[in-house]
Order: sequence, then C-alpha cells, then structure tokens
Amino acid sequence: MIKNILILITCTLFFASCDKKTDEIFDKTVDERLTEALTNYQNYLTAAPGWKLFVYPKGLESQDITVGGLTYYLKFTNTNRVTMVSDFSTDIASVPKESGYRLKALQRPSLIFDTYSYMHIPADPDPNVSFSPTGKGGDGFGTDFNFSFTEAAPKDTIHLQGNFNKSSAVLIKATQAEMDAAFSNGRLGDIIGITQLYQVANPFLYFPASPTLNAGIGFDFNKMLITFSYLDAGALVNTTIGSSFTTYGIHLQNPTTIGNATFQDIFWDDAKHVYYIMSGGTRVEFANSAAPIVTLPLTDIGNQYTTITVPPGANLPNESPLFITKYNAARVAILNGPYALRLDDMDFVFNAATKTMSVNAYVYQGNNGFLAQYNYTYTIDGAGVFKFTKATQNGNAALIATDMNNILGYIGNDHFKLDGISTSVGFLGLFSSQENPAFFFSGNLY
Amino acid sequence: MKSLKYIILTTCLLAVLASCKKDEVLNDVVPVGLGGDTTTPTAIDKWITDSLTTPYNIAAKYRWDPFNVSLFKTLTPADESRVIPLFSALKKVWINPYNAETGSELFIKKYSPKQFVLVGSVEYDFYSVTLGQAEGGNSIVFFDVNQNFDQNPITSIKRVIHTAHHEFGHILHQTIMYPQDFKGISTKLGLPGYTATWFNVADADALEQGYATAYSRASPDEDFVEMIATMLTEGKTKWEEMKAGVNATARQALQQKEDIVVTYYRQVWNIDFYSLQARVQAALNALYPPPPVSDLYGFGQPYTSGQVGELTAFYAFPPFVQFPASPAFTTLYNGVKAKFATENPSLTLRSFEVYFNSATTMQLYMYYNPNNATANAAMPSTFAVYTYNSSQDASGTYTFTITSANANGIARQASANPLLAFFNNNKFDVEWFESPNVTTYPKIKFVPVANPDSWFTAGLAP
Repeated sequence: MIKNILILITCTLFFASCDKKTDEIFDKTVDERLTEALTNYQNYLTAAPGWKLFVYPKGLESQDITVGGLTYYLKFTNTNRVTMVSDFSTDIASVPKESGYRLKALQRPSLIFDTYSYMHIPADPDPNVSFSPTGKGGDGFGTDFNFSFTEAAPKDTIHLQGNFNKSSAVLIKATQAEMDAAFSNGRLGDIIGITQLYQVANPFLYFPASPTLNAGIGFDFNKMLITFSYLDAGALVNTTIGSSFTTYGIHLQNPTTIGNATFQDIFWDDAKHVYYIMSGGTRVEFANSAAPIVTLPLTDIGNQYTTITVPPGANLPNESPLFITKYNAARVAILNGPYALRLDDMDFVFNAATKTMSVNAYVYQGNNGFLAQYNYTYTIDGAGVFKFTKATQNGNAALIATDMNNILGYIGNDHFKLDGISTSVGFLGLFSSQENPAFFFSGNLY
Repeated sequence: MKSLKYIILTTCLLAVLASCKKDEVLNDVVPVGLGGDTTTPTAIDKWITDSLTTPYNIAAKYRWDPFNVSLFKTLTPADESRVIPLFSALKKVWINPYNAETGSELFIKKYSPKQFVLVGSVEYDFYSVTLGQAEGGNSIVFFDVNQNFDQNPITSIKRVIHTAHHEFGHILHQTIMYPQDFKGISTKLGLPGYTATWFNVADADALEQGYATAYSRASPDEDFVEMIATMLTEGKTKWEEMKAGVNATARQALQQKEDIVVTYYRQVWNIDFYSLQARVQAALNALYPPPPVSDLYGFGQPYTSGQVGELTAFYAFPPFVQFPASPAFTTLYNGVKAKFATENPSLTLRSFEVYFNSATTMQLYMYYNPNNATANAAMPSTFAVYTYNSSQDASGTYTFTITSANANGIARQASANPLLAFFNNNKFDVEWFESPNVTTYPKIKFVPVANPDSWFTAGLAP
C-alpha cells in the first residue's frame, strides 16, 4: 500500500516539476507583429509625395484572355482617404477622384480600396462600364481592388497580390514631379492621347534592338499590351508584354530584352515627338519604317493562324486606296440596298486540311445579325501564291453578292500572296493581289 | 493509518495545485480587427450614425468588406455619392411611414433588420442578375447602388424599397405567423402552386396565375411578403390596375391574399395597411415628384393625345380604366351623346380626344359609329375632326380657338356644338389627375379657368 502511495507521490512530483515555458520563434506575438506591420505600411503609404501603382490583372486568364497593365497615381491620407488618377481612359486620367481605403488584417495585411474609385471601373462586372474584353457581364478586366502585402516590411517598392483575382501589382514611390504632372498638369491624359495619335501616324514602328536586328512595335490599347516582333533565324518571334501609361511614357510589366536592349520604361520626348528607351545608358529612339519590319509568308495559314479579319470600316494600317474604295463601295451599296444592312466584321477563314477558305461577312439589320458566307477552294503554287476558286454561297450571301463583288471579284479572279506583317496595331495578315499591285489589304490575324 | 492516507492524499493534491503556477502574462494585445474595422469617420459615417445607428440600431455598411458578399463573384463597392441619397430615401419611404402609422419609433427599433450592406454593381449569374439579397431577415444586401444596370432613379429606388419591405415582412411573419388559410388560396382556386423553379416564370405570367410577382411562387412565405412589398411599393392605384388586368380567378386569388394581409396587419400589429400604403406612396411621390404635365403631354412630347373613353380608332385603354369628370361636364357630354343618338340614322358617340398635331394647333377628334350592338362592340371607325388654334401663356394655360372642321365634322357640327363651344375661346389649366408615378395609365385633368367646376379627365395616349 505504502509502495503504491509512494509511487503516486513520485509521479505527482514528477509532473509538478514540469516547467511550462514556450519558446517563441518571434519575440512578439502574432497580433503585435500584425499591428506593427499595418502601422508601418500605413505610415509609409501616407508619406509624401505619393505613389504610383501598376496592376497586372489575372482574372481573365482562365478564359484564355491576357490583359496588360493599369497605372494609378495615388495620394493617401492618414484619414482613410485616397485621391487617384488612372490611365484606364482619357477622361479619368486627368480628373482626380477621392474615395476611401483602409488597411485590414485578412489572411495577410491587406490594402482595400473600399469605396468606388477609378480602380473599380476596370473591375466592374457591368460590361458597359468596364468594356470587358469578354464582352459579357460578370468579368470586368479581372483586376483587383483588394490587395495583400506580400512582404513583411514596407520599402520604396512594395509588392502586392490581388486577393480576389490574384493580380500582381507593385506600388512604387513617386517623385514630387511625377505627382504634380499627374494631379495638376493632366500629363497622364496627354500621354494617352499622344500615344494613340503616334500609333496612327507611324504604322510600321520599330527600334534598332541591335546593329543587325530591327524589332517591330505594336500597341494594343484595348488589352493594354505591347508586342515586339522580329525574325530569329527566319522564325517569327512575338514578345508580348503588359504595358501601361505613365506621366513620362509607358511602363512595362517586366524588364524586357530584345536584341541587345534591356528596358522596362519607354519615354516620350515632347520636343522631338518620339518615344525612346534607355538601353544601358544609351538612348535608342523609335522610328517609322516605310514598309513592315517583319514580313512572314503565310503559306501554312489554316494551322497556327486560321482567320484574317477585316474590322468594320477597314481602318487598319496598310489598306490600299483601291481596296478602301472597293470596300466602301460594297459597304455603302449594302447599306442603301433593299435590306439596309450594316457591314461588320469580314472574316477570311482558312482550313489547311481541306484547302478551303470561307469569307464570312457579318451584316446587321438594326440589332439583328446575319451571316453571309462565300466558300472558296484554293491552291498554293511553288512560289507560295494563292489562287481562290469560288465554290458555294449561302442564301444571305446571294442577296448581297452583287454588292460584295466589289471586293470578292478580286478574290476570285486574282492570284494573291498572303503575308503576316508587323504594324503599330499588332501582327496583321496581308492579302496582296499579284495581277493588281494596287489592291492589297490587311486584317487582324487569329 | 486511515489519517495517514488522508495526509498523503492532501499532500499530493497540494503538490498538484502548487505545480500549476501560471504566472505567464496573458497576451494583452487585442486581436487586430476585433470589434470591426475602424476608419476615420467621414460626413457619410456621421449621417449614418445620427440617422440610422443611434435611433434604430441599424448598421449600414457601404465600405467594401469581401466577407459580406459572395466570395466568388465580381462585384464593386458603392460610390460614396450614392450612399446618403439611398439611405435617406429608405428612411423616408420605409421607416417613417411605419413610425407615423404606429405612433412611435419602437416598432421599427424592435423589428427592423439590423444591417444594410451596399454593393455598387449587380451580381451576374448564368442567366440573370441579382439585385437584392437578404440573410435571415437580419442583413440585407442592396446591389446596383451605383445605378449602372438600372439608370432610371425611380425604378432603381423602388427596387431598394421593395426589398426593404419584403425583408421586413419576413421579420413580421416570423414573429407572429399569418393565417394558414393564406397558403392554400392559389391551389384551392385551381391555380398553379408554389414551385422551386419560380425563376422560369415571368412577372406578368405570375400575375395571371394569382401571384404578385414571379418570386411569390417560391413559397407561401415569399408570396406573403411579396404581396406586402408589391402593394406598398406600387401603391393603391397601380395595385388595383394589376388586379383588374388579370383573369377573374387570378383576381380572386390576389384579392383574397390582399384581404389576409390587411387583416393580419390590423389584428396582429394594429396597423391600418391602406393608410400605411398611402403614407409610403406620399413619401415616394415627395421624393420623386412627377414631371410637369407639359414634359409628357403636348406636341413633340411622348404623349400627344388626351383621350376620353376606352376606345378610339387608334388606341385602346384596358376596359377598367375610367375617365372621371365633374357633374357639370358629364351633363354636357351626355347631352352631346344624346344628340348623336337622335340623328338619323342614329349614331353612338364613343369617345373624343384632344390631340396636338402641331406646335400651334390642337385637333378635337370625336369618334362615333352607327348605333347598333355589333358596331358598339368594335373600335369606332368614323371620326369628326375639329381644328383649333392652340396657344399657351407663361403659366402653361391653354387657349383654343376653332378654325376648321373636316367633312364629318361639318356634318356633325350641330350635334357636337356644346362640346365645340366648351373648348372654343376658353382657357384651360392642364394638371395631373393620376401621374405616371402612381399609375400605368397616367391621366390629366382639363380645368376651364372661367368655370373650374366643369373639369374632365383624359388618359394619355401616344
């Protein structure tokens, strides 16, 4: 009995002897560190002069749509207010708007833009507000307005990640001159306008990336992308990267290397009216070429690329005056015809396996769309020249066949060369008539 | 021995107790965000505190909080400029009428939902959009606060108010249940019953089936509160029109449901539902007064014709639409009708309209047909037209002066003369009788300035 009691006492004393002390990895608790991080970030953000924020939306990647960057210039106050301008459209680039923000401990310390601001316009699910590239409701540009800080302590470059769409974003401390330009001088809106005109005025924009390599430059303002095109050992290289406007020009998502040049910013020179990059301390200016920088025969069309689309109005670079005349003749005839049809996209759809090509002309009567389809077979000779032979057409096509013959007469009669060309609006498909050198036209390549 | 055992046991216990020496300092840092986020109050925050939170214990969240809404849908926060107008309207059209009807703020304080959340955009689903949502009558989410989806301020605010009355209805019946009879009304009348696929039904079709809205068909509870919300938001006149416009069985169902709602409000809450309805409508009309008549009626306006009578050769009102007139005018018009009837062959005067065919002329159309049952059942085919010069003074008063008539007009002139003289060289004030705010069939009132007792009303036709 005594033995049992002694065992019991020993055990009790053994347990009583445990020293209950936890070794902490950090010298402060989670809440202390969280509070500290939020306070540090708050103090950092509200410090003068202000910040520029670049956001690269990722929410549409699941729908195979890549969009580029958005720029915001931001002034934070310590009373949860923020004033911003944005490069999303010209009107909001020049008129600062005030709204709310707050820092909040979510899974990570987070920055929430919590009342409607310019940051919410591309995020708006209403396609009439965001002009979403998906064209439907519920998507916007897949951008964010609720970000996590990805690093523990603030620096002059703060990396963020969107909490909803996982967009990557970076806050960079701006200079006083940049803030003045953005908020007082309307510089951001000016740069957008300048660049849009620059694109139209310079259809074959390029820069010398090395002594032996010129790279074509194409802007896609709708998706905020910039594409550099060049041939590497005869193979086409298209480097597409997210871009957004700044008060000094254009900022790229990542440092980009083309030929010998590595750069992340493109600068606008007001005096010379050109864009230039700084490559290792050397200024390299963009220039306009008389002809496309990259011309790639499209003899394998129907495989990688299947469709050349002439948009309504046929306003792409490199449409010949003869084509414009014929196009407008067809357009006006259809509009004034018995069905009053408005010509929208005209698609040239290739099938390499069956060697067939369809011209799909989309026409609208009010809001009702119809498809007029003309089907061709084709052959390619040894020199890569196409010959189209008309096979069939559908009922709608027959109704406007006489009008469309303004354009399609050439397609059926002539021999054509097809090339991919680099232009300031992107990589396009070019039809060139061999019999009538004055008849050539380009369309978007898909 | 026994006491030794106790001593040892006591020692053990003391040792155990002594061993728990917990002198660690407890974490004195309050968890971040405990008790909600704090932000520097703005004028909007102060307004909400003073107008909703302090008096009614209602929290109104307009700042974005990802956990108040779907975690999987693309949504945006509310625009600050919309916040006070929306809550102010809600207060005037939902809270104040209940206060006035019950005589104190207690009713709302006790039963109101406790949280409103604002979302700037609508929520896009596969085939539809979500415009309002509520969780257990406690928290209500209002979507499209920025009014991008619905840019009409009146329909937009009506939806918000509809949602508020709907959810408040739930709280009322969850506190004291409505009579069981309500649940069987539709099926007893042979109408379609409640269904989980209510969203396949259009509102207009649901009305023909004896339900206030499509959502009513979801369940008896939803039916009950949709009845409340629809009657309060649309108002007496529109509700009567909705009932009058459907088949007899559906009308009977709607009427029985209305009666139960009204009785429930009186017996359970001691509230006169029709008085409450009138207060809601008065508040709504004060908030969005109808536009001046001249913005809607006149040459180049949406309506060019003021029609008296159900049918003309060009436009038909539903049979239940009435065109009230003063006794003096009724006597005058009946006299004209009698004269048409005594012509040879006898004619039936069916209707007339005051039609502005140009900026400076008005045409009085009188529609009639041979006096027999077949002709009287159809749209009137023949009309006499009298053209007046029309002018308006600075205060909008019309003066009409007769100038000519068509062949039918000349033939009917003797019979029509009292009405022609009534318009000729007379001044008329034109005002709303029932504005588009309260009815689907807006009506105007012509009041002769010299003889205000001879007024008549006309329905607006395109």
